[in-house]
Amino acid sequence: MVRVGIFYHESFSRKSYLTVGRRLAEFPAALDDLLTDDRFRLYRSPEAGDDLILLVHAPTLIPDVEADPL
Amino acid sequence: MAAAEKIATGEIDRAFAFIGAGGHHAGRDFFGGYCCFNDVAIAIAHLRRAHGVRRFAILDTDAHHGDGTRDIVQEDPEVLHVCICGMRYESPDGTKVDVPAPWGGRDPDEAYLETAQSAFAARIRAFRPECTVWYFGFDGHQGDYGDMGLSLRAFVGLADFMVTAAREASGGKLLTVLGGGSRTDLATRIIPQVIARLAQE
Repeated sequence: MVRVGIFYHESFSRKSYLTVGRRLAEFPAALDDLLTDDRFRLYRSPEAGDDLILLVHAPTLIPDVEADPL
Repeated sequence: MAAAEKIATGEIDRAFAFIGAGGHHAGRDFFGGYCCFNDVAIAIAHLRRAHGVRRFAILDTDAHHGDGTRDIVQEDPEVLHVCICGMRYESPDGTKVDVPAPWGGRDPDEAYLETAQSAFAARIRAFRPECTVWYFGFDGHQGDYGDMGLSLRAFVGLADFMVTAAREASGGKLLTVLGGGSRTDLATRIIPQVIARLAQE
């Protein structure tokens, strides 16, 4: 059996992909049918810390993003 | 990161990661296109550091070029990055590739699938990654902001192709990360069907 993890956080449905507002408004309810199947499991996405971001990004990027009005 | 982590530890075989903001337009020291931090690149860096996973293959089927991801992995020979977008490029070592997406025609879904398969299938087999990543946007759907005339059939077909490619090249390990796409109705209809296909043997 192939095990599929679905990673989601409720904040994604409140303000997801900043161009388009609430494109994920129907989630996680839209996954209800899938989640009756044992092959699928829903996980709550944890917060990623600055240490992870700094693995690939310049330190200046974090305050730049925080200062962005979007 | 959590999705990549659970694939690496063997708790799951495949993953679908929803996002709060985009990732593939975020480069090492720049961001834009409504992307903040590069989720895929961070996941790769984390898996290397924590689990010793070295080789990754990425197919980017968001409608727009993954310029941020490319900026980060451009000099990394252990990342195959193939982007179906509006550009044509191939690095000297063949690991960084941009292929123009087809536009219009009588069967846009079929044309797009053929383009993606042609660009990625042989390359991933030769590259032999330890983990396969699909950057999946549905912005190319009819009526969305990257409209390429695509329908649900294209995205389900891409999911089937990625499962096959990952099975053949990386033991089935497949991390799917959501990219662009704007419409609630499309997200609600397309995403669950794409996820459903990820459970194929």
